Amino acid sequence: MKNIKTIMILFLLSMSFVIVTGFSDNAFAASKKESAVKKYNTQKPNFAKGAKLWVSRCSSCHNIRDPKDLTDKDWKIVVNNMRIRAGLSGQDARDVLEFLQRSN
Amino acid sequence: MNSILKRALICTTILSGVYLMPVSAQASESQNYKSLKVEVQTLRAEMAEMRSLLKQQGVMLSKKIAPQITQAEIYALKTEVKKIAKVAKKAEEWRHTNANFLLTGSADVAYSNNRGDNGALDGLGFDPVFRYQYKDILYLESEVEFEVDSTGAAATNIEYMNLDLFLNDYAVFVAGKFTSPIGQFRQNLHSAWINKLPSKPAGFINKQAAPVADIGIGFRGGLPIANTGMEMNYSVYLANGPEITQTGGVLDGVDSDAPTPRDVDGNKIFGGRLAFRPLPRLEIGFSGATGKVAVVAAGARVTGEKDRDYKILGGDFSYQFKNLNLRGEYVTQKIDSLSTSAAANAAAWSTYYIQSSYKLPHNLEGVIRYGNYAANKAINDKRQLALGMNYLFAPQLIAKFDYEFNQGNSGSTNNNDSFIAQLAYGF
Repeated sequence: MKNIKTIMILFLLSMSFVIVTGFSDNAFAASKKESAVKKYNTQKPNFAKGAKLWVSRCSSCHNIRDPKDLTDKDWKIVVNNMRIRAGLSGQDARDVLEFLQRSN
Repeated sequence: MNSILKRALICTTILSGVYLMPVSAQASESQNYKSLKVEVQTLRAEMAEMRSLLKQQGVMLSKKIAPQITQAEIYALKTEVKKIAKVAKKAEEWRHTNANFLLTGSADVAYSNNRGDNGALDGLGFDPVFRYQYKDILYLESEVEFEVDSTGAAATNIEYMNLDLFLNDYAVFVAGKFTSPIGQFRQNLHSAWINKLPSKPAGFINKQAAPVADIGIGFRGGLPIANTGMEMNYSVYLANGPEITQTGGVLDGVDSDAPTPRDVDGNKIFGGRLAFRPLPRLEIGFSGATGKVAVVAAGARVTGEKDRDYKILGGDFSYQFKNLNLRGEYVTQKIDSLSTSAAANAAAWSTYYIQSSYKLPHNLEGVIRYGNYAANKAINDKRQLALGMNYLFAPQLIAKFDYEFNQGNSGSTNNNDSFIAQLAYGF
């Protein structure tokens, strides 16, 4: 019983970390407008950064595939999966996707 | 008189010249004027002729084109344009749909020759992965494993099936059956087209040192570390945990493949992995899990068996430098002793491997891997040195050839060297 409580406490702490990490920009935003901008991640996808990540992050696990292997739609699905598996941030995933969709 | 006459004559001449000069100037001006007039008249006539010619050519051109485009042809052209517009719209349709689907996966065929055995094409794997995405909110993925063993029996298994909710840029909620986040091999490297050798590292098969999968919930994500330029990624989970069995008073391997969605011993485990990327091509990870397990048999807790402490500890790294890829992992699973249990002694399984690969010219890749697995029962120990050479037809189509020097318990199959050739394709 004690162990289950410890485990639940640890899990809840982890969830709190996740929630605080994700929404901390909103918590400390100077104004409501700034909060809204930060919440919806309006950073434009960066082609050059995506190309660098494609070489450094993707090649750490597997051979990097030709961007022409897949369509824009397919790359979107694949990159979202890679975001989960490789632990990419949302912005990193958008940058890589921008590079792949413009290169195929 | 003569001089006067001479002077008069000269004067008259001079005066006449003076008087006549304007007249001659006038005369030459008149001449110029006349010639200019003639010239202008000539130019006007020529311009008029040119206008007439141009007009005639314009009529000829229009008479040439007009007869070749009929109303029927214009209608056909319009219909064709509409068709092309429809095809173009359809090609872009995926951007405007809520759900999209993709089938990926891997397939492999392998020949192996173990010392003391006859060689055989005994490796056949087909692992399709179904991927669905709903808007930017939900991701569903599931890998189904089809295997045929040497007796011809087919085995099917859901290797993983999870629903992933994108909460924000740094967190994804995961629920379902997922590959173990402990270390890197199971989560990211086990696919046939990604694994640089045809076999798994020693100790990375189910019921050995490295956990395979679990059913539960968790969070994953990645985020930059302040303004350091470094990144971190994490995975935390709460899951049903493995099942342990015992034979002859000794604990067998930890069954962590979660073939059925159940929690026989009623205990959960909590674990995760935290990794740092201090450099763009260097990742260092730390993994762990803790919980309680109990000895089970025939799908139920064995009568009288109580909970026992269960721990996993692991570490991993990966580094790339130009054509060199270097990686290594260590993982250990431990179960504490329990005097009242049918298998009272503590148990531990541990393994580590280090692997180096190097891309050579002409699409070749050399691989070396050393692994050392220490089982709870020493008879299952195995040390392995694998030397491989791969040929990359394409990044996702690889022919692998490797020779494995194995050292295990004398008389066991773990002690047999083997040669394996595999063709693997990631689709």
